[in-house]
Amino acid sequence: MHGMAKDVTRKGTWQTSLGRKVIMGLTGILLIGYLIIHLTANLLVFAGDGGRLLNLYSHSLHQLGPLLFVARIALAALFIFHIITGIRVVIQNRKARSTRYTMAASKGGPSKMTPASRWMAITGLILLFFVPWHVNMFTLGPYYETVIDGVPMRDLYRLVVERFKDPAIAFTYAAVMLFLCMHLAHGFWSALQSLGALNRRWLPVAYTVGVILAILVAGGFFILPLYTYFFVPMPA
Amino acid sequence: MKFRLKIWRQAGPDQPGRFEEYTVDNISPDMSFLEMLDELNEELVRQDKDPIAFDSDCREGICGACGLMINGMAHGPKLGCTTCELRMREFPDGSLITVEPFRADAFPVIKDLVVDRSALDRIIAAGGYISVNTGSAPDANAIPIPKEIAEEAMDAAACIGCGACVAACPNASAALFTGAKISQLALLPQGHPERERRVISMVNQMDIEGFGNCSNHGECEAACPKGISIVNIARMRREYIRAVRTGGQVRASV
Repeated sequence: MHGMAKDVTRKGTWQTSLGRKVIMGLTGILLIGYLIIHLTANLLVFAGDGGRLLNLYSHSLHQLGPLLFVARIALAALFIFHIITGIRVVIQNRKARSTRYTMAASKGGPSKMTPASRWMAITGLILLFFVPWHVNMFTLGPYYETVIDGVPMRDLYRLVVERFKDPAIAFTYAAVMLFLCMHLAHGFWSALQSLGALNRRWLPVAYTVGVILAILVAGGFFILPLYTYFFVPMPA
Repeated sequence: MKFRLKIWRQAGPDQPGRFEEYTVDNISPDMSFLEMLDELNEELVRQDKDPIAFDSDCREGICGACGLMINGMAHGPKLGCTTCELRMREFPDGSLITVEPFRADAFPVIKDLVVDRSALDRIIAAGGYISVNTGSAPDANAIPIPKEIAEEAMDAAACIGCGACVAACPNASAALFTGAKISQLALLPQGHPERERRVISMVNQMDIEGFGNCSNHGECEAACPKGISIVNIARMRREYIRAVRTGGQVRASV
């Protein structure tokens, strides 16, 4: 049977049900921050300048040298930490109710249970497969070269347009972004709640901001491949 | 009114359970859900059958003893209501009603619809109290407390420990229960001296009992017959982060 209170080791760690959610929330918020920067840069595809700004931005990042390497390692660490903690949380949750209900329904009212909140693990799993796929396609993809203002640099724009001209890639990418939208719609406010940042006043605000943020961020990444597929001409 | 009932029957803790169907007739719309079950049990006893075991005590929504999963919702479809206060008029005449026990590995089934919720008691025993000599009651205004804070603490203290939050949570988490029990003390000066030890002990005990993690679905707040808000879960997390960061471990072992 379960141990009594006196057996409890009174140790505060991040490896408790509460501590793990703090890790999920913190890594989640930082990953959302990265996504916003990532999207802002990608929107340079819309500049209509034949990829000049996008390539210059990509080139300036590569000029950072070892700093870029450190940033990439940090980003990968955040991602991996988020995934491993998420898996542990899901396993514990499944163990907590080994006999499932025959019938389960939401009571409505103040409940914030939605398909977005229920499918966090599934949408997360889809993103887990998506991220290496798209890194392999772009960052690790073929190296085209171009010269801007006399400086030779990688023609990332050509690669992006070339890839998104493939309907299978453009539509798969866009479809995954719908799952990203769900993940963020619950993820943003949930992260703040897990970090204990919300109270009666800020909880509804964070919830609404999360939904708007999810639509904006995922919406941007959703439009990008489709816009490129339909409207952006292949560079000469 | 007439109802078809699909009720979970289980002879004992380690016995396999199954659903059985019953029909009840001549039910007054003003009867409570438990009175309807009483009627069914009277009939089962007349037929020399084993009556359905379920928990109940005060039958006025203040004790927290009753609690059934009715049509997939803890305490049934009505918000802010215990099973004993739920009236049969909430259900369409002639409908099929599915009744299950609260399900969580931390709440093992004892018989039929009765579950063992003493895991919640052990969370309280781990730290949900203040260690003082309780002499005569102090003057109510001896410690000035702003009304808003007193109200917030009172709202958390409205928890009757029925376990509906655990039952309704897709993860069987006890975060709302524990959050309410921590909040009612964290909000008031009497709770402050032991706050680090309290939150760490109670959270550890919650994990030892095998409850799940809170994924912020907020379904617990909807299921809670006292409408206790999930802001209490956020407060528990603040208390926890504070305790870990300020070395609650050291102070707790004193």
